[in-house]
Amino acid sequence: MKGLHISIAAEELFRIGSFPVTNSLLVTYLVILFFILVIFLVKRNIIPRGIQNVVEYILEYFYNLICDVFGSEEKGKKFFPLIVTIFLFVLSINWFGLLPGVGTIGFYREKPVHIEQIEHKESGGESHHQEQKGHKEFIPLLRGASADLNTTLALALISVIFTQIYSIQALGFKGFLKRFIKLKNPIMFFVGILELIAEIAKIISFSFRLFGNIFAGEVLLTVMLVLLPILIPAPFLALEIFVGVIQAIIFSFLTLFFIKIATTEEEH
Amino acid sequence: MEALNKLGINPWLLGAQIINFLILLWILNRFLYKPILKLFRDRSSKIEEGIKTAETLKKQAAEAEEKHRQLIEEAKKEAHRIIEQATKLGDEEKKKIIALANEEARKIVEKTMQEITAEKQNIMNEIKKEVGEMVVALSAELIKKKLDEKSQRELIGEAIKEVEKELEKASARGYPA
Repeated sequence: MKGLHISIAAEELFRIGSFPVTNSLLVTYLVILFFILVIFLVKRNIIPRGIQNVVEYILEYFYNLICDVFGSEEKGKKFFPLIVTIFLFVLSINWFGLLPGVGTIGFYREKPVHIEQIEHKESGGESHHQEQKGHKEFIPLLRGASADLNTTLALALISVIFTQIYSIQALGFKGFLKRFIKLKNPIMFFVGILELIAEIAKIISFSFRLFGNIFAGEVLLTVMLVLLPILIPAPFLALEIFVGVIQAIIFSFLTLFFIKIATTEEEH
Repeated sequence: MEALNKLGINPWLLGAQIINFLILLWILNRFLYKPILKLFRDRSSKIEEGIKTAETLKKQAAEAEEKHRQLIEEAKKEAHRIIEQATKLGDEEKKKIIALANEEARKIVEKTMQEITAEKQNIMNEIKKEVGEMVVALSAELIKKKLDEKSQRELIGEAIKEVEKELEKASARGYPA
């Protein structure tokens, strides 16, 4: 099927030394650039106007929500930047992937040598790579950054690691360890071990939930686009816009509640 | 590692994305969240201040109005008082002047009356003197002449005429009879 191109991994555009620059990394930088642009565009007037209103509304909503969850403005102020940044970043990369041209504008290139080589080495010369059949492969210039596991895994790691750091700050190192090592009775001991497993599971669930949703959406859109380019993709596009918000909310709110749980003393 | 590779996970990219996110977090925190949160605080304090100022001004305005009203009331009262006083003063003055005029008139009338009475007395005295003299003269004539009845009447008539003449003369001089 010519024209239908689906790859779980982000495509590599070029390499700087041994560092591969992928299309999703490019999108990440564009999103960061977008945020810098927003920072420059948002005025800090005492009387808000235009875009400042939108930014203030979002920030105030989150600020109040986080302060409510933690029960104090002091704590809320501490966790506010991380949670809001997760929300804004995830939302932006999700929606960026839906822009026209992302995933469809690109170039044809001879099969990438590096990835093939690595694959050959690691799978003992036997490769299941899809694109081996064709002579040339299509490389999209841009790819939604949340449709790349590197991005979502990075976010998941940041969320979980920050949660642990905050937990240690709030409970002390001893209190932090007590969450996982419980020596009261055998049942509680297993609960502690389960907690430890849950933390690792969180990384996986965080990263694969976001990746799965967004990647699936993009595959769906690509398939619809190939089947019938006009009209049919429109409702799916609307759906994906919705999914983009939902995933951003899920990611940021789960982080918020995990931090809340991890920084609260256990009741005995 | 092979499974991770197939999913496109690359340690370099993973590290890059972590660093990217941390950079974005720092930039947003430094240049967006902190200024905006500060703005929220500034705004709420400014609004609070504004409300306080407005309340103070309102109070002041009410006080000023009250003062104004009082002043006007006082001024009105004062004006009333002055008018009343002036009216009273005028009335008194009027009464005084009228009384004075009455007194003056009475005095003039009295003086005139006195003068008139005095003049009258004078005239009467003079007439008495005159009449007396005439009576004396007439008596002397009568005695001298042995008068008949006819001449006697003539003489009396003459005498009366003389008296009348004398009286006319007096009235012509300006004195009422």
